[in-house]
Order: sequence, then C-alpha cells, then structure tokens
Amino acid sequence: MGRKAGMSNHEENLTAYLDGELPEAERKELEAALEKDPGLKASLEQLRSAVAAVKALPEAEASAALRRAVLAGVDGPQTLSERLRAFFTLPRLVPIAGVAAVAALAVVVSGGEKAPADPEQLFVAQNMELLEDLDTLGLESPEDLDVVMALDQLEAAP
Amino acid sequence: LVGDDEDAALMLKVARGDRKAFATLFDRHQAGVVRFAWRFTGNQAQAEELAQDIFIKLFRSAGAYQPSAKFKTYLYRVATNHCLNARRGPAAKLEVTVDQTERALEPTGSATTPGETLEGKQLEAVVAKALEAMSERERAAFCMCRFEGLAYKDIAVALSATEAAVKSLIHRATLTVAKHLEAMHAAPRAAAS
Repeated sequence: MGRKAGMSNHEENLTAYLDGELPEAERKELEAALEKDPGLKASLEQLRSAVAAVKALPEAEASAALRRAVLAGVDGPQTLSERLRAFFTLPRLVPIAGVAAVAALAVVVSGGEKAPADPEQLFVAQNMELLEDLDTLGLESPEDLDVVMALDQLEAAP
Repeated sequence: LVGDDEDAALMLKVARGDRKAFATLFDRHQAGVVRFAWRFTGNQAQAEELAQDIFIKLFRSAGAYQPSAKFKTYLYRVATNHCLNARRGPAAKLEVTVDQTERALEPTGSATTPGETLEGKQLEAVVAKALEAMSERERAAFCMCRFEGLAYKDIAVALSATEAAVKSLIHRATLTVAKHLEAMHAAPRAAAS
C-alpha cells in the first residue's frame, strides 16, 4: 500500500466507505479528504481492487450428497434431552401433571391393546417419572432441563 | 422476531421438531455455509463435512434459539465457532497448507473455466495466504462480510463485538488482502527487471 495502516481516521474509514457502512457525516468528511489527498485516494483504490478480487473468486457449490447426509443426520433417533426440549416448546402447553394423568388413563383404558399410540402421549408415558420430577420442581422453561438432566446423572452415580 | 425474518419463524418450527422447516432452512443457506467453511478454514475438501456438522448442530440446538437477532447472525455464529474448533484441531494447519496454497499452484489442465486459469489459481492462492495471515476474528468478520454479505451490525452480533470493532477488523483484513495482492503483482515486475 502507498500508506501505512492506521495513519489516520480517514485511512481507518476507507473500507467501511467502500462497503457503504459509513454514517453520512463521516462519509462526507472522507470524500472531502479524498479530493485533497492523492495518497489517500490511492489507498482507497487498492482496497477497492482487493474487494473486487475477492468477489471474483469462484463460488462454492454444495453437493446433493450433503443434503442427503444432513437430512439423514437429523432424522436419526433424538436424545431424551432433545425430545424433552421439543415437548416443552409445543404450542399447546398444558400442566404437566394433567398430561401425565391423561396418559396414565390412556394406558389403563387401552388395556394393553395395540392401538396406534399418539407419539406425544407415548413420550409422556415413557418419561412419566422424569416429568413428575419436573412438575415437583416447578420447572417451566426448556433451559431448566439441563439442571434436571444433571440431577438425574447425580442420582445415577453410585 | 426481528422484522419479518422468515428464517427465524422457520427456526422456531425446527425447535418444535419440524423437519420440513429445517429442510427449507438448509436449502436456503447450504451454499453460504459451505462457502464460509471453505474460506474460513482454507480447506475446500473439508468444507462440506464442516457444513454437515454445522447444520446438524443447528438442528440439535434449535430449542435454545432465541429470535432476538436475525437467524443468519445465529447461523454464522454457530458456523464460526465450529470452524474455529476445526482449525484448532490436530493436523488442521497441515491440511490448509496442502489444500489451498500448494494445490492452487498445480499446472492447469486443457479444459479450464475462468477461475481455473493460472491467474485465477494465483488469485485463489494469494487470497488463501492472506486469510491465513489474518487473526481469527479478522478472518471471521471478513468472510461474513465479503463472502456472505452480512452487514457490520449483524457481524457485530455474531462475534459479540461492537460495530466499531467490526469496522476495524474488516478494514485490517481487507488491507491484508490488498498487501498480498500488491506483492503478487510486484513479483513478476521484480523478476523482469
């Protein structure tokens, strides 16, 4: 470069000027300085060339294999934590104890028949104990789940 | 939500386990994430692998997403953290050297696109060297600005920095590229004289 970096505020503002990120007052001030200072103008042109050169670099193209791999990756079995988080972000949140009671009733009424299970009810039934713990603790936010998950680990430790 | 950020609305659906919403987000942003991973790490071959990890991480952390900032800002924050970890991993430096700098100087074949010409390859190698010479924050800010078109204020959110700091990071990074390009143009002139 014709000038050393950090020589003045005007130098510091050149890239933001090229990016259209300079507030109007500073832009006008810089434009006035550019009129008077050929060295500053030369620096601006060198930065402009650098920006143009980077723009000319080839684009990256994602392959179809990436799409398949990512979508297959998220279709895998979810962890308990993920399922709990999803449960807590359901739009129709109802008191946990109430849902647990409905699920318990559904299990009793079905009498072991192989009727198609509602995934939500099944999930509640499978995690009844944990959900009761959550209710006891009065947790309502998904963020609180980390605490509960850690508590479970502590309980499981010998 | 921030304005009418459709992506943020989709991400909230992803948090409820909506795979279709996730597929839409993936289709919208996959090229950008691959490009970012490539330029940030300097490793084109590894870019798709990194992008795969980034998107799966995005899906798995959807429950923690707070739509107080633009979705794209959140996405590139996840991408930056992941790429930083990848670069700090074992043998990452070696891969970068082989992939970008040396391979870029291999002789070109007969069928070439503009980007594959000697000049294009030289430019690729010089920019890769300039990116290597930047600090991690300069590189992250530069890639988000130059390759993904993020505004300074969004980059500031993604990097947990002030806009003034981002302005400075991007200026220094662009200056680094300018200096490397100047050296590239000066080399043939020096050889000829």
